[in-house]
Amino acid sequence: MLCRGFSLSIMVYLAQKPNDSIHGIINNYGGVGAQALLNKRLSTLESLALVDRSTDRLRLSTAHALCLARLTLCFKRLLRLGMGG
Amino acid sequence: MLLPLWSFCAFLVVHWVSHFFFSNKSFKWTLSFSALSLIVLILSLQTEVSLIYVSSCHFFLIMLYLHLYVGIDRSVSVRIMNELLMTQDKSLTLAQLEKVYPQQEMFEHRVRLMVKNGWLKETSSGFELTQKSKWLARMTIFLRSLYGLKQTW
Repeated sequence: MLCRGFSLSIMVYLAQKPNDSIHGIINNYGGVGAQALLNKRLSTLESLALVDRSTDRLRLSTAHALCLARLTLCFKRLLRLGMGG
Repeated sequence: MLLPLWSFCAFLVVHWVSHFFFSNKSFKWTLSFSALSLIVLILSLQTEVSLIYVSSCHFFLIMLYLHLYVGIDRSVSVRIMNELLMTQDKSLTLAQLEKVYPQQEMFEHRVRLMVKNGWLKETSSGFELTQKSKWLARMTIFLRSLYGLKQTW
């Protein structure tokens, strides 16, 4: 949570720069912007062998990844959580 | 040993059933936790196992479940994997990913939730922290510096 907490990082950003707009938050999130957030998540997924980025496409690479994706999607559907994120 | 497991299962049933009948999230959790407390109390009174033992095992299981629940519901990585799963060939380009899961939406959704839950308030020029989130932000900055965390995004 401390390391990757999305909401916590938004709070920390707004503590340092109060009254900023949504665009300000997106562009300056964690001091690096939203793209860095996405890149970090993708790198982690790749290092865990869940997503393959060897081509220009992101792909669920292993049976583990497929199984995990299915389980989490079932959980969200069962509890009607929407797509989340 | 089986008592906390049974009561945890009962909690899960109440929690899942409440998701089908009620739309208010905080009401669902309140209902689930009220049912949970009742179950723990009844189990402790009906058996010779101590209330402290049942409750501590029980709340440990609930804590694990809460982490699982929040991790699945709010995780950006899980959402990316779910979006990949829903495609025909289980793959997307970055541009396609941006189309199905736009960064703008990712942030707006989270900020809206934080406003709804009283962590942020909307002002004429943007968003600012509420009293409770100021405290939490300060605590987060302190703990991050204590652990020497650098890449916190």
